[in-house]
Amino acid sequence: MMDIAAGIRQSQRRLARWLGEDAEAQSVVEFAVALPFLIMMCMGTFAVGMIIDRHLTVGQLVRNGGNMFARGVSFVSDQNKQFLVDAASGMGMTLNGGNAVVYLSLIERVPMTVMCGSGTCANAGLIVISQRFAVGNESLAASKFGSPANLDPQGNHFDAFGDPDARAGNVPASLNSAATGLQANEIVYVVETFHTPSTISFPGIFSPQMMYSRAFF
Amino acid sequence: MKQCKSDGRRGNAFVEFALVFILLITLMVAAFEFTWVLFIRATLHHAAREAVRAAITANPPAAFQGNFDNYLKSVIKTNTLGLLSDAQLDEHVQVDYFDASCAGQSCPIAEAAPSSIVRVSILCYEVFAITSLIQPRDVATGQIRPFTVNITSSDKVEPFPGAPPTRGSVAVATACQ
Repeated sequence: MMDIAAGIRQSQRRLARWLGEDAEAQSVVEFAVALPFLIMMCMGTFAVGMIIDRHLTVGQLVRNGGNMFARGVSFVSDQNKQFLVDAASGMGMTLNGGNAVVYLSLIERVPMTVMCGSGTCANAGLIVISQRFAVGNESLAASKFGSPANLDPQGNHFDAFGDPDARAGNVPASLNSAATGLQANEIVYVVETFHTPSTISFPGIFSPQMMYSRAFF
Repeated sequence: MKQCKSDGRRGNAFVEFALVFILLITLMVAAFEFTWVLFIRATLHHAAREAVRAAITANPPAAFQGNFDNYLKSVIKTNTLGLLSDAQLDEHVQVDYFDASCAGQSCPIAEAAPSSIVRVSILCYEVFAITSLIQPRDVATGQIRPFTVNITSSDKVEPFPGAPPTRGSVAVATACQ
């Protein structure tokens, strides 16, 4: 009888130990399951913070560029481009390359009455880009308003009134409206910034998206 | 026997908690430190922009007549929530004027002039970790390595109503040297 009782107690202890070890193993497995999510959340938090910072910088860049452009600063010289490069601190933008590009466009509506040579202008009544500057890496993205090719070294379009090349695309409806939008001869200074935060990348978890910000002055 | 096992389990849980706690606290502190740098960058961006705004409108109060750069520093000070002391303002703030019609690399000018370009920079501002738990150190020297922030903002100076302001003691950042 004693042997049986001892045997039962021993098997009870074994069971308990077995259960205990099992619980421990289970918690290890649980932790292992949760860990990837935890790591992903940490990386996600970090990435979101970096993205917010970049968005702030992009906003600053647009505001700096817009204020200067609207006050008549020409972005032909390296000195004036450098002001935007400096404002883009941390974004990895250079004068003609890097991870960001700033497009500065002067858009205006061509009046219906103006004459080109003997006839009406080809762009009469349309919104055109009459001046365009680009700072940074132009191959990153094209301006959403179009990329006029016929520009002189000062960034002015050779024939904004007559050349279909100067026509601006994707103009917001609020500006495009003939009744309430941009009127004949009215001008708007448009600044666009594209930025790829390529340094903020966690392969398989988070990949950088193109940032875009623009302002109208 | 039962008592023994129970004690063992409690100790086990305590050790586990301690392990996880260290990890959790590290993560939390890392989040704090990270946010702190972001906050400082955003604040300095705003302050630089405000100083540029003050520079292009050039309407300093009577106390700063003839000492325009110091006025710009005071604008930065009032917009940085006490992040920059007077000594730090002298160290980190730089104000430059440039000829806007410059065709080359760089054409600085000495005094403020209408239609010139003003650039306000807060350079080499060092952000140290708040706690001592996470402190990036230089691999070679073992020194605590701060996070360096450079903020720059610029704009074109408007036509002044009166005479251009006198800069007085020119603001040059010495912290980067």
